[in-house]
Amino acid sequence: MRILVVEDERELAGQIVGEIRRNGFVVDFAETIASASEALELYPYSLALLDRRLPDGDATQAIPAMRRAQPGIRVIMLSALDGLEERVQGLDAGADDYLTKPCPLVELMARIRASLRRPGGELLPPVKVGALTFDLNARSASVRNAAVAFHARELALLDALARRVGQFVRRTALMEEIYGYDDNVQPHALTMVISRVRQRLIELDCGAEIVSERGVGCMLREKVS
Amino acid sequence: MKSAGSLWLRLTALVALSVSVIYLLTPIAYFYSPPDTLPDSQKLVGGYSGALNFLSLSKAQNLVIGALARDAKGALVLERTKELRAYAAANPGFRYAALGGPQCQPAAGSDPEVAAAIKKIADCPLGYGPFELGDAVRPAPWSFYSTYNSPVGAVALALYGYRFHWEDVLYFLRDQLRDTQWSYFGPTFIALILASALSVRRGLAPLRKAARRLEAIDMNALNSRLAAEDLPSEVAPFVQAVNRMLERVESGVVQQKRFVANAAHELRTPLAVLRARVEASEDSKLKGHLKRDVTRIGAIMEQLLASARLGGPGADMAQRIDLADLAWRVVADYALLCLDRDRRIEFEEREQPVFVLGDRRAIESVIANVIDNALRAEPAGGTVLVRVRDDAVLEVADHGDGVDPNDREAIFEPFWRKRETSPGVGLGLAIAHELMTKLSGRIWVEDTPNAGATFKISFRASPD
Repeated sequence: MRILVVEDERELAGQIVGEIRRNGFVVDFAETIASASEALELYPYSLALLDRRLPDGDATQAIPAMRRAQPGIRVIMLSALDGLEERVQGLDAGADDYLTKPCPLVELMARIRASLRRPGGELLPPVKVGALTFDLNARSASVRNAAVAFHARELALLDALARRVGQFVRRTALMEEIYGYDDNVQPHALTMVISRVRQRLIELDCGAEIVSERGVGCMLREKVS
Repeated sequence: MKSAGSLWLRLTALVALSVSVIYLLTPIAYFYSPPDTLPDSQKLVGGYSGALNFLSLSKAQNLVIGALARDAKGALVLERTKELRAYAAANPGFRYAALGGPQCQPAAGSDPEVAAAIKKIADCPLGYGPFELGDAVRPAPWSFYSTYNSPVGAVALALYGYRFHWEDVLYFLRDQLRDTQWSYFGPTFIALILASALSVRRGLAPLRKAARRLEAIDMNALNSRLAAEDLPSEVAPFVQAVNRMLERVESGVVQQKRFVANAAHELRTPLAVLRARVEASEDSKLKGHLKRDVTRIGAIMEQLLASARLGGPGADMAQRIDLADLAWRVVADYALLCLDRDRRIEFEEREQPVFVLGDRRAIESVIANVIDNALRAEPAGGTVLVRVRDDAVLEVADHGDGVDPNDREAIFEPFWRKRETSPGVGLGLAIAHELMTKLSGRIWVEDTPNAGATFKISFRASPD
């Protein structure tokens, strides 16, 4: 899965490219709209991460051309311009998502995954947390290349947390993702699922842990030694 | 501030004084006639010297009248009193006569030549005027006769050769005041003074109005101007100058704000780079510290930026924002930072959204700052509690030392600090306060039950 990063701030671009690469994607990097167009002619991309202000113009102007070149591409704008107007402009121009700088890299990764997850889409690279690997496509977990069995609800929870690894996820969001609309569940049920998964991760000694904060939610992250 | 006193009082006094002086000096004007514009008969005493001499007449008259007496047979005499002798010594040409009695005989001691001169006008002269002495063609500017009710009966006094001395003016003024018909001039005086007072007050009314308007102008209302219509020409230049000053101040402030906004904007990218570097670094203990620092810098920078932007034209104060969701996001960011520390943060979960109006970034940065503040006040092992109430009030409760009731206003001042030696809270709360004012909201601090401070932020609720 190939991602194009278009950003003229070299240092920031370096950090972003590094993070995306660590998460299992192939990344190319362009500094201008012109070189981005060249890259789009050479390779198929699943997603483009665009800085709004580029040396050779406003990146929103380039989105239609990108879509013509690669109809299936997802576009995320990344910009320091954060007014409501700018956001609307960016989304109107055809961006799928609009992020404002400064944006934590974990959130950026979650947005990229969310953007790429759609019916019939390409396969997402697995999420690695410590020794735990979670395959978002197959919804399966493995530790040090050995498959680990979880119940369906537990896998749903891991899936929801793995997609936003390193970030807190609200309980209400977890409820929606783990249980269907028809499920009549008590909030306590979710607590049970969370504590079971947390316990399993400890038993597996996989370097991944679930932390939770009251009212804030819970989070999957690499264990801090 | 030292006041120069009331302008209208001073002007009134000045008007009263000048009216008095003009009134008192009117007789001089009467006696002065330009030498060449009037027929000879009307040139009474001729020129300024005559008018000046007239000022000295009163004293000479008083002295001569004071010298009048009656002898044993009841005949008029002019005694050579000490004062009269002194006056004659000071005025070498001074001569005088008094006529009185049934036949208007010269009183004993009168100058015969002077007496003869007025006898020429009439046997018993009535009225007043100058006279010619000897074979002079014209009356001298130091000659004057008049009838007078003296203590010893009606007399006609004739004086000649009196000269002007400054000290004589006092006598003149005294006599003038004594002889004034106050029943007529009094009301005129009072009317004049009242009229001047009234016109000053009314003339300055636009200034008072302008002052009231200026009172309402602060940093957020620099675009207002004073009304420049219907102003008296004396006040207009001042008002216009104030308006021009406001224009200059406003453009200066706008420039300043643009500078702050640009500076903060410029800082965003390096900060994003720094944040990314920190996130990617390996040393997890150092990473935790650095992340907190970066977040704090970021929070202050975002506040500065929001504060600079809110005053400007790009501000969108009418964004409809779910306060509960926004507060959760900020709490989640700080919860991440708190994870491996001994302080925690808790969010009171709620089902219903709470919609407020304002600028998203501004609201976010205020919440971030207050939470950051609370986490620093929270003692080890404690938990900061964040709650969003139905009435669009956000509460952040810590369990630290609390805020002394006397300091509850002061902590929102820039660079306030608890003690001279303690590190200041810096600009954070001051900017938060400023932002809340611009957001038409309010920020204040109360006690947390048992211990600590609870900051409360009230936002403008959005109508459904």
